[in-house]
Amino acid sequence: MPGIPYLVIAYYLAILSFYIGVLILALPIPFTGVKKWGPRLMSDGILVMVLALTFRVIMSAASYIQHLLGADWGSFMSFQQNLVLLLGYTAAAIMAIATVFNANFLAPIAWKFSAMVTANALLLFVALVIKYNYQIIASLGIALMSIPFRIARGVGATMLAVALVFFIALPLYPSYLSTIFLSSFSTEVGTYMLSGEVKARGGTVEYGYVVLKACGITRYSQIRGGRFVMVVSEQGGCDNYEVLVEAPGHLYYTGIKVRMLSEICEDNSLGSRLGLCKVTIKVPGLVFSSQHIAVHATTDLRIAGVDEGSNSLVITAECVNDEGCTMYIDVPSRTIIRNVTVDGTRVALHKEYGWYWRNIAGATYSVRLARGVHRVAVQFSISEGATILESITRLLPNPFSNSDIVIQAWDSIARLMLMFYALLIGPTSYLAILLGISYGLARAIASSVARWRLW
Amino acid sequence: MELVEFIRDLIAKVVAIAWFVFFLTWLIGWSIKGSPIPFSKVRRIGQGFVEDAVWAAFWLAIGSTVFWFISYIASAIGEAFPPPPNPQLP
Repeated sequence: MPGIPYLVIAYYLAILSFYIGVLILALPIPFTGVKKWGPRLMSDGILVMVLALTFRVIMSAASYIQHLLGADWGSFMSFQQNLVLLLGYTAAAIMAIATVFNANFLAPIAWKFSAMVTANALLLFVALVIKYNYQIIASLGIALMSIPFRIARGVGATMLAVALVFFIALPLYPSYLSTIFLSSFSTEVGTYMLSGEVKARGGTVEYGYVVLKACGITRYSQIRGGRFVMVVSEQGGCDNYEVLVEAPGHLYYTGIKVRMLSEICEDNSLGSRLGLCKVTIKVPGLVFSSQHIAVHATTDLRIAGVDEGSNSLVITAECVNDEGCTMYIDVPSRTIIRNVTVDGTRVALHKEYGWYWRNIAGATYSVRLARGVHRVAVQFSISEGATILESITRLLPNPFSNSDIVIQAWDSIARLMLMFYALLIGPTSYLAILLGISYGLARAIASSVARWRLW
Repeated sequence: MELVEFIRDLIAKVVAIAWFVFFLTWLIGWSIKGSPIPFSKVRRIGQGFVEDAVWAAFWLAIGSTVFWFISYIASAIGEAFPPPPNPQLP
């Protein structure tokens, strides 16, 4: 156990103050002012000796209380480190943007973020110091308390109290912070900004729509560059939220079906409490999707790789079904398939069905594959003058064209402002509260001697 | 450790001086108490010296026993105190 040398010093200093007290008691001086120090020093010595000898018990009692309160140093440290890193990166990014684009209006935001970084880094620094040194600080405090004539008793008691209080209560900081976030604004808002990647079996989905169905209400968000962003509100009384993906001609299931919107969020971290929600959508049925061509297949066709050219698509896949697999190629009518080859051999295309998706006509063709690894190459061309596809966007209800977009934006801004202050005031107020408790405990430790009389 | 040695040396010196002071106070106390002066206030001071000296001698004699007793109690508490619980993963 660290801090043992200080405890040894404290032990002998306690004996010394005890004997000095006896010596003063025996002095042949008739002044009560001097004589009073005798019993005082003796009781000081005994108290400090008790403290020094029960140090191990005090420390295990502290960790016992800590466990009872549900605190955990490891998760607290990782929480705080991630928070500081996140805030630091954001501050650096905002400052970089402000510098590069000479955007002066960003200066207050950058200032707020650096203030948040400072406050949280302060808490992290204090936590690091306490985590690795609390026993040394506490034993040094006891050693200082044991110096005769109460020279450093206040300092020593404060050090002991700070070490104990901070060791017990610092890991409770995430729950302290979460009470702020949970109580006031996470419950009342219920608006989430979902964002994340959309993945098909052959990589990210380049074209399509994310569809969120909530008890009869449907929201769409176009996938751009494999990612989507969607602002949705919790519907009152609805306990069935489902995420689907639309790619040319077909609607695909994603397996995301929840009772509460907050369950969609991948991690239950600070971001999701603020309504910033990360979702990775996996579309198992879809292999590839672009504006001109999409491929889907049953799951017994394992996709090894997809190579996309400007007018070609090469898919390497393994069929694990003895009866063979079918690959479906979905094309809108403006895309004309020139030829399809399987392992270099040209195959005839079989048209399965035609479809009409939104205002686009198209067809789905199938390619049969035997068991084994195959390389399917599709050559196609796009007929000119057919720019119908983009008009889908106009047909779909855009989430950002809602009339309540102003309210939602205001909500987000208000929440971000609250986050600023919660993350600025949170650490400082917590440190202030702990220091207040430590002060009280230090006074209790220091004055317990004065109230305690040997005779 | 040098500091500890120094303190222990100091303790030994303080104890020796304390015994010496006890005898001195005891003597002075009795001589004041037994002196043929008619002031009861002065004689009460002598009485106080003797009482304090006796108490000091008592604590000097019993000091090491007190320390042993405290360490015994402390180690008994340390043995009896349960170790902090380890968090169990569900």
